[in-house]
Amino acid sequence: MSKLPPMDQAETLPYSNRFKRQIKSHHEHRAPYWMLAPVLGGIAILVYFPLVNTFFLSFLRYFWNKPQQPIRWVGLKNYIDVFSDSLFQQALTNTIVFMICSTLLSIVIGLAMAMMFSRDFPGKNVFIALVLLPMMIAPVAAALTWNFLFDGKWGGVNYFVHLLGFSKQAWLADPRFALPAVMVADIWLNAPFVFLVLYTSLQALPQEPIEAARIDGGTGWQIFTRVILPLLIPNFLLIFIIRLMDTFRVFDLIYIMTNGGPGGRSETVGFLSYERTFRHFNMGQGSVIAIFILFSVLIISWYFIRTLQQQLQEQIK
Amino acid sequence: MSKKNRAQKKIVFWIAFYAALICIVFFFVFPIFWIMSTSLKQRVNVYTEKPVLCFPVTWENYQRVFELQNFGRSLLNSLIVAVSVTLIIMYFGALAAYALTRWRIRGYSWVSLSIISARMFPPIALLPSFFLFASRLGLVDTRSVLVFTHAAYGLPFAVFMLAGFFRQIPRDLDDAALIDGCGYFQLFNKIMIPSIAPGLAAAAILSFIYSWNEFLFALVLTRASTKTLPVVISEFIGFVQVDWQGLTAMTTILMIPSILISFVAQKYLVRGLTAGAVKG
Repeated sequence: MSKLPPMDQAETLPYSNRFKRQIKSHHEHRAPYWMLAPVLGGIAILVYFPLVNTFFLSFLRYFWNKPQQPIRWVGLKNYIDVFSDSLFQQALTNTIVFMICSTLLSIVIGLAMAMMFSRDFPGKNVFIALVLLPMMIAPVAAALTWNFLFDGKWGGVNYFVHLLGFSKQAWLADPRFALPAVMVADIWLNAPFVFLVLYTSLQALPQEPIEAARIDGGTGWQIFTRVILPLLIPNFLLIFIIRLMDTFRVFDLIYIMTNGGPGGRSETVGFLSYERTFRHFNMGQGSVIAIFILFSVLIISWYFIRTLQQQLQEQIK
Repeated sequence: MSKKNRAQKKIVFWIAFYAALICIVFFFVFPIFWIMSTSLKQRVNVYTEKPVLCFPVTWENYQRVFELQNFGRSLLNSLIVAVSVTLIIMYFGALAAYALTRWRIRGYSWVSLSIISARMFPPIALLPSFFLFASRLGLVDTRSVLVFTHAAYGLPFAVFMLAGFFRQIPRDLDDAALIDGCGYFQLFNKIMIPSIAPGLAAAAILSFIYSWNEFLFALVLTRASTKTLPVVISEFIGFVQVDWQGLTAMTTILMIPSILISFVAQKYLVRGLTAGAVKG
């Protein structure tokens, strides 16, 4: 039997009469819309509509614990209040520091691991399985794990710090160490994913350029920096964006490990938005920060979104 | 001489290599081991400044945790929510992915853009209005609101991932079924679903874990009777004296599905997880 034309051209291409009857073309072509309807409807109601509404809320003076107080339209006042708030500025600084350090470190660690595992050695698969263990763990569980390890009195970290001859610290209560401690937990949780992506990308690299460089007498380091790294740039870009996006909205780890403290030293924008909305009952300001996070994340992830969209379009047969 | 030198160099290299490897594995595995072993320790062995590595195993921490009335219920809540979310995402996600891969429908780029960017939106951006709607409609403290939220939030990724799996199913299979007089939905239910079983398995695992791990929505949308496991555990800290025995037992229970899955189903996962981030 000859191959049928793609369905998207079904209406325009001449079929044999026999086939036309069987495909019931007009009626059945609504099928894809019905198939997409539940997902599109669900997303529209549960994602897009609340999003637009949050934007609207950000212009209101609205304390939801005081129903008797009238809700008033205050224009940009919430925005001005939030952006001139020194706690917000600190939270933004903390978030950016956290985002950059955590992203870069997890990529460096993930890349180092991917390079190590690209070599064959006994027990490789067991080691890979072990290293990937933290990947799927709940952020809440990871936060609690590191809470315990960083505990000032009974924590494992202090034991090793003491062994190395340094003095013990109350890590999470110390303004200097609170944010870096959360970073460690974040890297622990996410570096395995970075490793997995870079490792699979390395396996998928074309072997010819690497072979050619080797034949031309390149050393291991030269091949790594001049051939392998440039080939991996698209993957780096994507993983970089994913990590930036995830670290910018960090919430669970902060909530469990430090609660933004001590004295706002580990406050992040995500956590501040939650605090404003649900602890200070200030819908307006909470929404302003939420919208700020939304736009920052969208700007960061625009390239990623477009790449995914192109990939999805390539899936059409 | 040079041959011996090279051999020596090789030995040094491998020693350094394994040393680095052990450091890395230690960093990633030790915390898990530490939590799990602590949950099996008696009180005397938990509160010591020097880690105790040999200790009599006891299940009393788990016993105590399960006696907390909250805990058993939250475990049940978490399971019910995660299973429902998984079922919804599997069926409707596959349906949408099928429609997206087989037809170039009108407004295609808008549809795909809206699905993909829904995955990128930070949950915190929806939360203020989400909470307001839920409390207006009296849905706070119901499991169904959590199920729908998790499903809507988990669907985009599943759709994207499953689209990749549908691509591998030859078009001829559809055409053959259509010629035999199958309707599109029948074709989907009877032929497509079985043939993308591996993809569905990966989607199911990821959705289950997503819902099981999810914290922010659950924290805001649940009250006394519908709290999920992460929420109940998070409430357990914050007192002056932290009960590490109970907490490590709870954390272990929270970790177990993720760890089991990453061991048992690693092959399925790798493709699903790296979907979109690895070109190849």
